[in-house]
Amino acid sequence: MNTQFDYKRIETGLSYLISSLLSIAVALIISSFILLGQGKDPLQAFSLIFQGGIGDMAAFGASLVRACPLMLAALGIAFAFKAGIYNIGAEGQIYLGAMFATWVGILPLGLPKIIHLPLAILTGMAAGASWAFIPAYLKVKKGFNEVIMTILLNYIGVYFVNASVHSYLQEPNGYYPQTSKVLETATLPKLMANSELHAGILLGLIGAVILYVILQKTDFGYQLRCVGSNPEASRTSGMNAKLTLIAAMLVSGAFAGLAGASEVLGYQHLLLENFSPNTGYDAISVALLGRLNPIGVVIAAIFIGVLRTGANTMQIMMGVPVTIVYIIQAIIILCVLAFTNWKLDLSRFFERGAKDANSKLANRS
Amino acid sequence: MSEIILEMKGVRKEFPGLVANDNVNLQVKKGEIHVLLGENGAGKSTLMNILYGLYAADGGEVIFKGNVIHDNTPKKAIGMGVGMVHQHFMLIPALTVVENMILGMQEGPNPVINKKEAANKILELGKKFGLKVDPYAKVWQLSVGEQQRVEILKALFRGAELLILDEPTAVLTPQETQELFTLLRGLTKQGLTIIFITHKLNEVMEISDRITILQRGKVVGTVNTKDTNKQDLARMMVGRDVVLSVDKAPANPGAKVLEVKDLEVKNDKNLVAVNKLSFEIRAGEIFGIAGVDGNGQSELVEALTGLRVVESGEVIYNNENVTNKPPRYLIEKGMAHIPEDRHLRGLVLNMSVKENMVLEDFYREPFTVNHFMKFDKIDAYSKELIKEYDIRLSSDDIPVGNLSGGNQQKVVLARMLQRNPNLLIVMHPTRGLDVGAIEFIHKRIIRARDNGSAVLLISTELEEVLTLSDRIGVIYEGQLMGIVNQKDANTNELGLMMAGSHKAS
Amino acid sequence: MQILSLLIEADFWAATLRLTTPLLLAALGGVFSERAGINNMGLDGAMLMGAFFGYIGALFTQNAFLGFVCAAISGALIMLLLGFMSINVKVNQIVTALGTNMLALGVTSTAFRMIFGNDLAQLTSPGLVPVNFGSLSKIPFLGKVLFGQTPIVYLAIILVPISHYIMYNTHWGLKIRATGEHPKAVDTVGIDVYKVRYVSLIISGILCGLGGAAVTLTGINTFYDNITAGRGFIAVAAVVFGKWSPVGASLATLLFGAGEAFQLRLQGLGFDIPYAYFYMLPYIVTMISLIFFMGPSKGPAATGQPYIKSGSKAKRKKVSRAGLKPEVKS
Repeated sequence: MNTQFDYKRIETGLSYLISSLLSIAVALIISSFILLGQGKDPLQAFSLIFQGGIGDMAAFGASLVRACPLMLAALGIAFAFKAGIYNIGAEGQIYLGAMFATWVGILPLGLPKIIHLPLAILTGMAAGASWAFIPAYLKVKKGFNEVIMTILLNYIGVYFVNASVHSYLQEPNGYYPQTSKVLETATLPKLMANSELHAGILLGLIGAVILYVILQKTDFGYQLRCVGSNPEASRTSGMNAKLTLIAAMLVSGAFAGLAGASEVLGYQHLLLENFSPNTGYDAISVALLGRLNPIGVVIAAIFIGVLRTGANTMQIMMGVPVTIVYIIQAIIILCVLAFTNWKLDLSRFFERGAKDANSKLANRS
Repeated sequence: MSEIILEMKGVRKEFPGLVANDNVNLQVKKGEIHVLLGENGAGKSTLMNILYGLYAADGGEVIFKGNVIHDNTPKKAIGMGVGMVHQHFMLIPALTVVENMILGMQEGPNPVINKKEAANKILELGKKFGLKVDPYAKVWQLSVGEQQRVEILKALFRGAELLILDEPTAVLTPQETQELFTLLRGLTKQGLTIIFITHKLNEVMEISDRITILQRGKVVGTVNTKDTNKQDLARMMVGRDVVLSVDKAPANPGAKVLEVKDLEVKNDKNLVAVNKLSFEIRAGEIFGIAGVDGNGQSELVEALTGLRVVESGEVIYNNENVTNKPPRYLIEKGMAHIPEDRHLRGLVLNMSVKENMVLEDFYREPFTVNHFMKFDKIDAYSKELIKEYDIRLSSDDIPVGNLSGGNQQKVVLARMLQRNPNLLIVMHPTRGLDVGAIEFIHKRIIRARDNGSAVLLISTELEEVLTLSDRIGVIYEGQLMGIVNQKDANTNELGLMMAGSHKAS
Repeated sequence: MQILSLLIEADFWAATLRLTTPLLLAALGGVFSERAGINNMGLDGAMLMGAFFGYIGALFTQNAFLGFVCAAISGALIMLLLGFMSINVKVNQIVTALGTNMLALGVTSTAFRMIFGNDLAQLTSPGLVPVNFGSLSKIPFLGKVLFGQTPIVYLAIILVPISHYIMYNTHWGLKIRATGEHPKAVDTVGIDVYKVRYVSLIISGILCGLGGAAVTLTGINTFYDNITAGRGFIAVAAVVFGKWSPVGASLATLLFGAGEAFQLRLQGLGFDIPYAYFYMLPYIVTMISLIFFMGPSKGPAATGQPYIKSGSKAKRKKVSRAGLKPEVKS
């Protein structure tokens, strides 16, 4: 182990990287044809996306703001998928998280920032986790399909939040369906001048590292991977599969709740009706593109953030509808899936080396 | 009589990393019962799946009734008059017998099913061949023996002239086996030809006219049954002399380790599967439970290992009542379990061999300290087990699913035995393995006994239970029909008990 | 009291039938594909395709019936894509369906903008008009409920017994049911499992497409982004609730249709609460009825599992990995 070069891990990583890049390439080629059909120049469109998304620091900052909720929610989704539970419910969990974080954020508690901000964030996370607990409980205890349940809960959650900003959470004497502004003591600090970039992105990076360590280095992560791959074998060897699933779902919901909280506390600063449509569903494609790996998710989220921000520039400059990114994203998901079974085979290259080393050892003894 | 109905010439079939059939030649005469004999993995089923059109051969030709068959498919094979009863029945449990029979049998353009007509035809055929079935019963309600009759009838319904039976006796009691043999002889009198796949030598001598022996994908030879004997066949099958028994010192039973009292357990359909069952096992002995599949064995094991709820009764383990304790509690007390289905329960197939070695103990020192896993310790442990249990692999970083069946089972065995269990529960430990692996696993189970483990062995292979166990119980419909000592046991008595008669006391 | 009196109004029941129709068509589509062993979360995308292409078809041909034809074709096409991914490529069916649903959203909203420009100044297409039953529609209560509907409502109702008959009394239905339970057994009697699954998916896509067009072409005669609003998922829930039978699933959709009609009527009463609470109602009805009125039930045994033909020359593929593996039926 120590002397032998561990190429298997590199092989997997490279396979993922290459197939992800290929998927993106296929998506761009197909969308080029759509653009050509409309008489638009695809190269110009893509370069506008690039400029608008990553052209300068301000653009990149805007892309990171876009990426932030996607990253946080996708980290949670990937975690649940790894445990073998399909959390399609990030959308509702994000809304609930945002609502409760806002609620704490606008309360005049007179607390210092060092308490008020974490309190608002944690309340948002708890709200997301609670919303995720419902389908997890129903699956584990009663055997209900979590996909249907989380989707239904998404609609209920979103309408609930919308109803709230129309009633008891609405700004006093306000006309618009929105809450009051979050107090300064509960906002996430900005990271850059002349940009909306806020500390939420740091939460995403820290979260990714924590989840990676949990998954790969701890006993809980090992158990979670076992349960996700073979729940029956895990149960037989003494693991508590049900508890593991619930725990994974709670973590997943907490991250979605965090996504909602950071969007409000860091960027929007008040809660609007439909404040972040489809983020929960987009995050699923981010999780898949990132191959359910926390580090992969970070990269994928930034990629989608750039794509989304850049697409706005493209729409303004060329009149190409921004919704084309849905098509790009969908094709990426489908291609990533289609390439799932493909694997780079480095063994011919490395195994020869290993054999030489072995025979040398054999000769010596 | 000597007309040749089927000829397979130079058939070759490769799977990734394995040549399943290598230049196989086979001639079957009309009206005979022809046995294909070989170990597990010798390529018998593969050859027949090629004949039936399920697999495409990589080379060679198949000649049936004088016609060379190209691009074979099951549809074509059925159309020519080939019928096959697979080892795992190809019946749909949720549908009725009629529906299973007429599936894919649309004649002409009329898409509407005439169930009544079909049912009458089934009854008529049944009368002709002496096969009684209820056409309107749902298949899941039938016993295994009845399901097998439905399978045979299904082939006859489709006009089979050549009937292939893949390990048909694996699921039958000795008495049911006799009934099947009578049926098969009747069928040949009506002009049918039968190919019978098995690895059981006793059956071969009894039922066949001629035998073709396969070994590692190659034909060793074809012989007339009357010109051969069991020893010769065994040698041809394995390629060396086989010790048909295992060396085993007399048991030296110690303290009582497990006591089961009036245990009652329900199955997934909420029916009673284990019915007021009682027995005990002592340290240093092997208690075997024989019986036909599906008589409550799985539910019994699941209840003992904490995987299934006990409705009533008690499980006393090391003088402690452990009824309905969770698996981890029992594992920590020293219980080990080699599950019946290693893919479902024993291994996490897409994780590495190394990671699979610590499925039970991953959370304990030295493998985990303060919730962080120590991969160097796991690696060393895994290397040690791989050496100790002679597990053949290129690297312990590869997914355990890439190993052969025998090596996979050794991974499970290694993990369990390395824990020095005081109780070892073993179910179908050698199912689907080759002779080498079977011998190895048998020896290790006996060694565990000699080291003082109490062993509960559950198997449907009567031979296996007879050779390994010190005491033998027979389970039928969730009840123990009786317990006998190994030295007093005989196949006939056990067979009767497997069919539901109590031990004559 | 005022609320309860809604339930005996003819208008309420007429609206229930009208609102049930899209769900009913999609749920029948769901029954066909799930019975054949495809875990079909893609109903929503196919409905959305049908809703958009039905509208566009009707607009450009100025004929509502041709609109429905376009809707059926578009639904079938996206199901073919889902079929290719889950039958041939053998990847996880749930995640694939998420992909095809997003593709439907992207294709419809992008094409919408490309045709009408980014400001979405759009036209109204022709739509279906209620069938004229003459004096029958004058029968009190029943006249309004049963004899004042558009043709697609009647088509949907007739399709229920037809689907039942096909499923339980024809060779095709038997093949479909068998394929969802035990594809290998189906293969061994010489039936092409892939073909059965593809045909079932096409039927499913056609029905979903019609269901989608039943949203756009029965009154509002226009389109907006994601107009089906998750109805496809309610249809999936109805399939489960109806225990995978055409009649059961249809009755389940009636319940959800009633929930939607009820919330529309409630809005009309002018209660002083946010209307979002009313929108929530059909989803809550669905969820509560699933949880309280039925236990978890088992679908066809092989649903969600790709069928791998054994022994083919191609290298045997391992079904996808970590997290993307086939759904384990709960």
